Amino acid sequence: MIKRIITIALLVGSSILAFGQDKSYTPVTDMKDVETKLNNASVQTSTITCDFTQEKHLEYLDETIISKGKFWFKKENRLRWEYMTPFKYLILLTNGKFIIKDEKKTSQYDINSNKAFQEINNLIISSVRGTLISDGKFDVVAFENATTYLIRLTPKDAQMKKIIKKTELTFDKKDLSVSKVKMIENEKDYTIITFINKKLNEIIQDNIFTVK
Amino acid sequence: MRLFKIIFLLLSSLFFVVACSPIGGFHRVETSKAPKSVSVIDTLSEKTVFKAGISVYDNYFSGLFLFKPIKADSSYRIVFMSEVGLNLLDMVYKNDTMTILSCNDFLNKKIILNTMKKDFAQLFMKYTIKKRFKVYANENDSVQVVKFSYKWKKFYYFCHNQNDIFRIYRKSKIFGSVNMNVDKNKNLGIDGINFKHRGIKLEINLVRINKGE
Repeated sequence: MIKRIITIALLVGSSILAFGQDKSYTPVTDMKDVETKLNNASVQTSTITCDFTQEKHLEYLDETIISKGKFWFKKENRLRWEYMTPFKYLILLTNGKFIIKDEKKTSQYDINSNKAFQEINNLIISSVRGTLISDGKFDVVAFENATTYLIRLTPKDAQMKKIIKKTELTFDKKDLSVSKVKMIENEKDYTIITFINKKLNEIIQDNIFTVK
Repeated sequence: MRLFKIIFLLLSSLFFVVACSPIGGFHRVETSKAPKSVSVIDTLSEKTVFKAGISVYDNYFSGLFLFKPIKADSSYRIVFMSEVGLNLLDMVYKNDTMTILSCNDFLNKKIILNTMKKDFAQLFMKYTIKKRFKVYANENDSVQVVKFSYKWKKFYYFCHNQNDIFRIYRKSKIFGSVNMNVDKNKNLGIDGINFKHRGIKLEINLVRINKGE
């Protein structure tokens, strides 16, 4: 019992610390309701097109590396994630293939041939669709303010935790789509990907999901 | 017959060594004609980001390399990260020593880490790390080469204009060699660096991406 109280106190304490700078966030009281809303929105979203800005923060070096690109998603699991500046890099998930194009070099992998690729595929697609919170692989804590939900995911798997300590997903309340992803590697390194110019349920031609 | 075979093999290997010498056609000059002792990285006074492509045997992986001088303790920090932002390798070069601070599991192979350490340490190392060296020059003296031995390896620093290193050749006394070429722009800033290994199938190619900064 004492252990449980200490755990709850630590969780509440860390939440207060984490959100101390942004007082507008409060813990979500009805997690089930948020989960249902996000799942319903996911069911109703067949395509997503947007631009993204990625900021890699190395706090101990006082550095931020910024890259930008475009993003397309088409249900069920086709995705084009393309970095355009300051370098060219493409990730494609389509027809059971995981394709990476780095400048002129293209590598292709069969998603089902390798458990790691299955995990990566599931992770990316679930993040985009907002269904990551209900897949049971993470401890989930949710917060909200007037305009957004903030979902903090801590991996249960120790191997996964070694790579990403926590992930924070920010959802717009108006369309319940992901507007920001923060991947926290440790106390000093994190990456923020912000999605802008979002278009939901617009037609995306199939040839977008080819290497070009 | 066996003796002839041995002599033939010895002569062949001697011919091979001469033919493969990186300073074939160069002549020895006085050490007073040695180029200024600089490191490849001396021209990078601020943070520099390179796009990296690494081929190891049949595998290829890529990412970004950040080089940042830390003025407070005269060290250099080198961080290798994936394009999506995950740290893969973090190293620091200080007092002529490269130290690995952290490393992602998939890169954590002794041969890869040792090779990376040696290759990147080479970018910072000045030939004056050794007091004894020999100097060579090409026919019209436009290229100078400083040759020295350090930690069981032979190093050849190729310079233009007495201070501009454009190539370093490193040869193990036992096995393998590395040829490092530096691609410079007209202001002598580094646009790219390529490491090509012989003995292991490894090539590292760095292309600078923050040219405007």
